[in-house]
Amino acid sequence: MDKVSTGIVGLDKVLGGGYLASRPTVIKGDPGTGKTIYCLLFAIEALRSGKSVCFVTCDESPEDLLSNIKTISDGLTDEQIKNLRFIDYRINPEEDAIGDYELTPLLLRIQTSLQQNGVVVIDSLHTLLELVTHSSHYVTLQRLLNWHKQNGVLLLMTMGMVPNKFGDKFEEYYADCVIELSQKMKSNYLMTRYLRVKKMRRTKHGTNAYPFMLNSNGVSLLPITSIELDRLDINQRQSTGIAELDTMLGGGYLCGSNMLIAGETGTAKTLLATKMTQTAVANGTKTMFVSFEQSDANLIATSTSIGIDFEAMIEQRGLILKAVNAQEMGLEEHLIRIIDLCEQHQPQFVVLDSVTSLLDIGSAADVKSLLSRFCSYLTNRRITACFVELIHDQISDDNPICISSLIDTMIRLRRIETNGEFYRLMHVVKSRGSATSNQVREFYVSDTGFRIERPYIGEGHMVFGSEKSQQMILNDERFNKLSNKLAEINKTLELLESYENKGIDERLLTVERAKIDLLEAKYNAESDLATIVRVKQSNEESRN
Amino acid sequence: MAKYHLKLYIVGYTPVAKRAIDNLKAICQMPSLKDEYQAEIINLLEHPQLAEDEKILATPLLIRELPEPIRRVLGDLSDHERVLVGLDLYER
Repeated sequence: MDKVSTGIVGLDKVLGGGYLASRPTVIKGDPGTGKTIYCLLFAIEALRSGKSVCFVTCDESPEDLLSNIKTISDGLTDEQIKNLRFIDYRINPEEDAIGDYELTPLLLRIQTSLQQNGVVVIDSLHTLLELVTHSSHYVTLQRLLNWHKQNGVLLLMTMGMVPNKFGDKFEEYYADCVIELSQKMKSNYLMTRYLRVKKMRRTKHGTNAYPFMLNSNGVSLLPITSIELDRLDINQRQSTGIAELDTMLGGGYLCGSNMLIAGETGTAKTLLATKMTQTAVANGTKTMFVSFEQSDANLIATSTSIGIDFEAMIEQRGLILKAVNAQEMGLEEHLIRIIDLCEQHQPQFVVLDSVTSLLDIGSAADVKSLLSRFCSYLTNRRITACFVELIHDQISDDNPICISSLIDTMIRLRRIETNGEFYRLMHVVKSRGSATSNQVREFYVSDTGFRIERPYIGEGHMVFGSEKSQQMILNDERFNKLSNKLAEINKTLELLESYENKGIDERLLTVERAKIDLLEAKYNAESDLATIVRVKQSNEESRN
Repeated sequence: MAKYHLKLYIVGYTPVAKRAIDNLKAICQMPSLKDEYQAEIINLLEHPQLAEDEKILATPLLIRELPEPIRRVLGDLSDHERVLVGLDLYER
């Protein structure tokens, strides 16, 4: 079946091309659900593709509609606007009806106005039905629909949800396609708009309720649930900007993969995301950083604190920074808006900080569903994503949202308190498609950035922080002591050998031996003292 | 010069249209209008553009063009009294 574009990209996808070319379509919905806007968008698209439009308006004035069209559309040429004809079919309250009447003028007016290659829009059918007072009027309307069908003229009608006077669903049986628009209150104050294709003859169509948004460009509808998963190109890797971390990930993260940085409060998640952003931008990858937690100014200040200049990156268009208040809109709207931004700016790397803020406006299951659809979209577009998640539990890696199954790479940041101090620890929980390190590494954050420490083993297990410094000193000391002892033993042996060779007096020998023992004891005491002094010193240093 | 200019718009000579024409003839014989009217019957099938010009929603439609203000009455005009009221033709 031939289809005509609806003027809405997402809707064309759902309908498999657009509205049926030579059949009636009905858009049903309560007041305020956006029916007229759908009609206007369709009219604009039809005019753009060179068709002529006959717009029957029963509610709004032709002047208002024309001005709306001019506002929404991207500039239609005067030529194209000439092809737009309005039929003002608003009921005149001054016009009294006395006795029988017929509705034949409507079809007459349409037939007169319609030009070559024309489409007809009627907004709205339920107002038209106000004029229907008995069955002959119904017959007239049926004739109108039939005329359109017989002449292959596309007819788009809007209709309210209220059952019409005659009880049966007149328009649904006559229309080949019925689309329903609705508004649902998801929580106490957030409203989400949905579109559902109730029926479409002879077409395979998406059957779900698709959320959509009305914005200044028209309608944003994203049927993402229908996107197929495309798999990664395993060969392209990107650096995080921290050499040690790249090694832990088996060479950096994969392009087009999804990453998760998870950790408790204050574990430097945002800073790590910031660092990765800087590296991506420096490598020429356009990045979009979306923050639900901090304002633009805060983010810039945060980045400056580790020596990264977000402002310069923004100026050079390498970085797009979007601070969004999670409470501002519902989950679906957030998703649509972020995807709209992606379509607009075409970034190759997207950071979401943090997905946990979305729990304020939806349940864990809802947020997971949203993220899985977002990941679908990102994978399809080969965009690399980095999500930041706040974890409350020190020990476990999984959490309220449980999105780790959607994630290819997961980096876990921790802060451990032991013996009165905090260590920052980082490890790679998983990295699909890479050989990863199984080590937990300590790291520091300073105004020059991240520094990941080499792992240190003391007394048979990994140690961190000041315990590590202490261990290092003890080990050094032990090493020195032992090597000194060894030197001593060697010396004694040499001495004995030389005695043997020379054949010296017995008493002198015992004195010498006693001397050596004393020296050894003296040396031990001295080195123990030295150790204590050194430990004291290093403690003072780390205190600073 | 006739005082009242009336136009009756119809779409073809359907039974309803014929009733309206008959009723109009009767109304025009009534005391308020007699000898002071000029009436025209316009078949929109012959002049379709007029339907758009006059923004006609349904027929038969009787329009009083003169004297101003313009008055419109829709229907087969079966209730003569109401038609006169609708056309504002009662002289006081």
